[in-house]
Amino acid sequence: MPLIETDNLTKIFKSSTFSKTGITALRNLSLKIEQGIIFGLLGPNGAGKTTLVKILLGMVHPTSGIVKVFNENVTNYRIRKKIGYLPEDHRFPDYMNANEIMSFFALLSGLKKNDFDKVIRKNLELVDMYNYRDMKVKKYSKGMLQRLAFAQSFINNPELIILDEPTEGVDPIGRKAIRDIILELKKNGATILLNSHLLSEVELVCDKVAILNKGELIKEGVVEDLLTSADTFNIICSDMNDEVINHLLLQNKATIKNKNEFSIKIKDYSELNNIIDFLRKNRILIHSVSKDKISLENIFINLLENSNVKN
Amino acid sequence: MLKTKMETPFFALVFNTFKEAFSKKVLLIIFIFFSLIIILIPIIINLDAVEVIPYMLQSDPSFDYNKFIMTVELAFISQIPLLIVMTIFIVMSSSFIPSMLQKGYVEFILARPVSRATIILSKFVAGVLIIFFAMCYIIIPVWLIISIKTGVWHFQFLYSILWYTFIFASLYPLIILTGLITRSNTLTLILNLIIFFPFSAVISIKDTIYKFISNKIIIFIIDFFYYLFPKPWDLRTMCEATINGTFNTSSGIFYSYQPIITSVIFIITMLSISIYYFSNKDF
Repeated sequence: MPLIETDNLTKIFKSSTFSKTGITALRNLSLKIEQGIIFGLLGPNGAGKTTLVKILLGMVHPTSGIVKVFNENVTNYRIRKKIGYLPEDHRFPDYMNANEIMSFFALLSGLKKNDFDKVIRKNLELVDMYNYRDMKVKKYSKGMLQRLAFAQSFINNPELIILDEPTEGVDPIGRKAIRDIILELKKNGATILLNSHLLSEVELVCDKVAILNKGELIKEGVVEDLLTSADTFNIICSDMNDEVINHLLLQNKATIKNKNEFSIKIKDYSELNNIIDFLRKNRILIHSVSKDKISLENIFINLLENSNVKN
Repeated sequence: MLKTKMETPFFALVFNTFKEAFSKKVLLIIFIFFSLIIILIPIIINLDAVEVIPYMLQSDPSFDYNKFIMTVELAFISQIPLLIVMTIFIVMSSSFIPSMLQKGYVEFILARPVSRATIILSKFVAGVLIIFFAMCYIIIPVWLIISIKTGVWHFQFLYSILWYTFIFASLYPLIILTGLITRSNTLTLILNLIIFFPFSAVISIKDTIYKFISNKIIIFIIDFFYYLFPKPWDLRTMCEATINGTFNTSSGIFYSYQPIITSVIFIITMLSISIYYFSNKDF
């Protein structure tokens, strides 16, 4: 059973209470997210990612369609006991310090003081904020605020953690630390919904991704499958001479990366075998044959361009 | 046991509102202002010129020392103090809802397993409790100083704490609702100051106005607003009547609980509308 399930989910933001027209933030979105994975939500600005997240948290009411979390309707606020959330562009009351903020959110999550004292310490230590716990947040840098916001998102040991741009404003070392914590949380059984613009980061941690554009789901799948091109192979071999290179260029339309490496798009596996035969006939040692990998960024841009052309 | 029972989202929100109030300069100003009054009272009543007043008045055979002390006490809860105190309270409380609704902060609150009704009710309870404690802070020392100095102990004077808290409680739900709709401190403040002071002051003297107006439609409109809105001025008069013992007696000013009942209805209605509005709003 999926942890998150949406079916034909639509959200239209009306320009005013009595207006009939509005902006469609989500259009017939059907999505299933299984338990125990890191799921990346990608899309350009205005794609509907934050709207989807807010609907899952009951902050925004859907116009139509079904949305369930833990197989419960999101209007049931009690399910949020099992959810942690890090919003984008967050703001803390400047009269509080990290300790007070963590305690306040722990109490709001229904925890008792005896239960959360140690958790607060552990979480603040994890994000390297424990030494600043008594400092008022108005004195924090952007990175410190982000780390604190991240630490509060799993104060209640949630089963589902929704992270909206978790590494925003954090330096590369801090980003690595956050990535490691995300992977650790997953290891401990949590499901993570990650909303990020940093595609390289999504590529590093996510198991599955969904790409949204203009409120519609344009692609969904396992990251590994998406990044692997089914019909393009990368071949690493011993030094090729000019004759071999020319043959590959002319006959097979290969993309030569250097004297030892080329990639090739094939129609079927017999074509790949013919190329291997040709290389061996020319006494070239094959070191590796692997499916070519494309970056998530390229997939993302290609999909968006295609989607925009269709629309 | 009590501590554990108070470790709930509701009380967390209440205590957080307390923290917010203390972090703001308005509450500090209230406490400085009240503290000054508390410090000044013993100084004033020990002045020779003040001490001789009762002795001078005692030459009048109709002079009642007890009533004289009560008059002094009632001066602390007359129209002008009500106006000052409620204005300060409205200034302080008008920021509670807009500050909670700030983008980036409200998401933290709404993402927790807390119903929106609980959030609104906690804000209401917190605001009312802050005003209750502020009233205790000023009324109890004033009462103690006067009672110790004069030997006249009017315990009824302490009712003014509850009355003033109730007056604020009757005004506060509209502050909550306007805060929810406008999401602006300034707009909430201006709207409520306009609604409650000039407006409620005018409708509180409706009987005097009727002497000069014969148009039934205008009378109906004034009556409509009179019964619809809370009545801080009537409630203050009732407070005075409770203290001086004229409330609901044959010589009393009020024979009905109408201002209390309509104010309670107003509180319930406004809170219900606020909860409904907040629950259906997208954030």
